[in-house]
Amino acid sequence: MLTTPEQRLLYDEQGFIMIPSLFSPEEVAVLKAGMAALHTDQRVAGAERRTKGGMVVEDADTSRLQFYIYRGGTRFDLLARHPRMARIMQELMAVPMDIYHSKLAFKAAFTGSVQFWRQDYGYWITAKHPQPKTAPGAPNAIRPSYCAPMTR
Amino acid sequence: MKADDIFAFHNLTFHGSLMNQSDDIRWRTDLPYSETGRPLEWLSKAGLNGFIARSHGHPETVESWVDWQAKRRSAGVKV
Repeated sequence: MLTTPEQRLLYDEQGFIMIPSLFSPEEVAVLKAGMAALHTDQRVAGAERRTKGGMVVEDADTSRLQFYIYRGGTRFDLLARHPRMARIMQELMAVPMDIYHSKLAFKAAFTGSVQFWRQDYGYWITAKHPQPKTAPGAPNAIRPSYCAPMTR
Repeated sequence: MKADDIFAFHNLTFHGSLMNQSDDIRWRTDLPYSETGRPLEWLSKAGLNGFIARSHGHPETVESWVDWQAKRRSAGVKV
């Protein structure tokens, strides 16, 4: 196992866990190069608001989001199924799993915007799962977000 | 967090991020995993489950990406 019983218990109890130093500097460098390639592709693609490749841009030179990075053709699809990454998630979830979404986010230097407190439940069918509740003591930045329930 | 760390959290865990005050772009990769067969909003409307690439326990459920894409297109799912 790549995780300890203490780590799995912590994930079950608090809903999150940090796994430090999962990748080597060489592996991180490969991903950074992949990110740079995506960025370059976007500069070539121009200033559409959202391209067919799933890139969301701010302007012609500034990309902000790249969706669907787990699909073939980028180094990030390998990250999604990386033996260490997938095994750790499998150990934490303890059920058969698949990946259902992915994105690469670029946050601007100096003034990169805040992303408000939120939950990511919107991709599930909410009728079959508990409605999220406001976390006690959470900062007052909580507000309905783009992850609000999508189905009723 | 450092560039080689991962942060794993349940999708009902509250999360957010503060302003990037560094002098460079801060980037992150989001890779959401889900229990196989759990209904997802945009697929279930079209009567589809997620694409299963491999399964030791239920190999009969594995499909090729090409076949699954074709099924998705015929169901009218755009993404």
